[in-house]
Amino acid sequence: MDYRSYAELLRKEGMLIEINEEVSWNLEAICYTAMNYRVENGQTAHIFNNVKGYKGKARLFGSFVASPKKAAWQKSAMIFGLPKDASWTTFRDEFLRRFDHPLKPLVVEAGDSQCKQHIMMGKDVNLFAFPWPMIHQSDGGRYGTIQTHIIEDPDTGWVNWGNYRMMIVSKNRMTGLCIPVQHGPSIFYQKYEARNIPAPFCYVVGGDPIINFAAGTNLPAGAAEVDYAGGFRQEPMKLVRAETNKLYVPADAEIVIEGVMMPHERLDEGPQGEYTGFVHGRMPMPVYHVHCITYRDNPLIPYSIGGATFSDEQAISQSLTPVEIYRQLQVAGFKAVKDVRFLPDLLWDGLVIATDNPYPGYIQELRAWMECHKVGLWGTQFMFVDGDVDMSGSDFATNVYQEMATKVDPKRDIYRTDNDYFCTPLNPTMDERGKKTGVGAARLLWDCTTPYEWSKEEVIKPVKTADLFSQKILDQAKAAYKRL
Amino acid sequence: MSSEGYEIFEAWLNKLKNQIDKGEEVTVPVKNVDTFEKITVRGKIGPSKEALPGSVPLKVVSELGEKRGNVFIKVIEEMDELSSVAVES
Repeated sequence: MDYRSYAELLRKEGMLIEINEEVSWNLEAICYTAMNYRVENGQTAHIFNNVKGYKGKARLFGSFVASPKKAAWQKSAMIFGLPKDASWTTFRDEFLRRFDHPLKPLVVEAGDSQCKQHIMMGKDVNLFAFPWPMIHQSDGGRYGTIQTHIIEDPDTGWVNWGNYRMMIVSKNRMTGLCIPVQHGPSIFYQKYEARNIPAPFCYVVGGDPIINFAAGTNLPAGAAEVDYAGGFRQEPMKLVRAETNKLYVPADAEIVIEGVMMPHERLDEGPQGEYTGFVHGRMPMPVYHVHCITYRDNPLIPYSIGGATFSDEQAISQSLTPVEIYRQLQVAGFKAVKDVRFLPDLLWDGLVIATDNPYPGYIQELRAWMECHKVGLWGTQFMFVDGDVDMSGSDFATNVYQEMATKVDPKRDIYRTDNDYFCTPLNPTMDERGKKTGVGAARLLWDCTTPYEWSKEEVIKPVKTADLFSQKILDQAKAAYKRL
Repeated sequence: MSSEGYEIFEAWLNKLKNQIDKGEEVTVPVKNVDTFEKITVRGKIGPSKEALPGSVPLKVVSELGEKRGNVFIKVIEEMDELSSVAVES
């Protein structure tokens, strides 16, 4: 599957609208997408065929994975080849099954790759040949927001694929947000910079949309995201060598941008409206010098509106990250954990873990693991609820709020830790130091589970419909209800 | 040159206030509001078009992109955007 065949699938399902009227890349297309998020709840995707100044040259692809809030995984499931009405548990379990079977990619010849239909090289390079959208009025520039950044670790040769935003600076330069602890543009780039040598990179738009999921995972160091993309698709990704460096890129990518990040150079990046719902201010960030752009005919450029309800990046994270955390907890031995979800409209700061409570201190062990593990580092608030709380339904948030309101003892069940943890600098609660380093976050954890001693000593008893009435009374009432 | 004008972070104006008030040339990073290309320009900045004939609007924004006001800039030279690297941001 590539972006084009995925768009065809959406069309067949009645979930794609093509817009042939002229729209501008400057906020107008974005405004339409924001309305789609709000009015249609992200039900449809849309392709803008006539972007002002770019008709026949490139297209914008909005709401490509955003889905209704109550089924945030809907289009994600379709990307995984599942039915659009697949349940949360079906999607989660299939994702987990495929996670355990990564596949190495295949290398194809340049002549067999669609991404090299057109090539801009050297002085001919022009990033403004593509309609990168202006997404928020206050943004520092035009942005690529749903793309894959590829860079090699100069020490080990491990190649990292990650999703990072990129701001277009000029015809042949970009800058991007580099968050401490992330591998590609931060840790690896710093290794090149320490040696005073350029860092070759490729920046990929499109290819198989499942790459966006693989590149968004928190894999352990040394694990290749491209192998997991193959595992998720259940067939190897097809790669082709870049034109100007030794990196490999998806052969069916829409656009591939190649170049180097030069050491010791910085340009202003941002401001940009972020997924947190707040604007992240301008910061000096590394500079990407573009040496070559290869692309398909009339490429599709996807985008997401950070901070909007309910955006594409939220949909990817809502689908991907809770499953990944669930998997990591299972691997770590927390078998009593039943499910993990993000609350709708929230991401890491609305992380809910449903778990049984098999022995005293279990929740505390779980809490300590979450505080320290990479997958738990992005949020500042976690909630633990009982394992029998239904997290699969569309209204699971109501169940979580009910647990929170009725089972949390403010003295005993709310934990605050001030241990200077890492958290994303994008988190609006970070102070000035934290915004630069990512260090300095506290954590707040809500234990909404039934206290261990309650269940053992029958201190309290929940009201259940089945306990309120005898079967005879229930049958009589049902019959009467039908008559009335 | 942009016909619509440019955009600049307020911090740059604050930093160069003395030079701007004296009518001196300054080198500043700006955004072309036609193309949204980031460039560095050499020019003079003044409070109004009348005070600076031949100038175009220069929108002033905060670090978070909020509009702070408008001044005007008469661009003498558009330079490579990396020239701003030499100027402490």
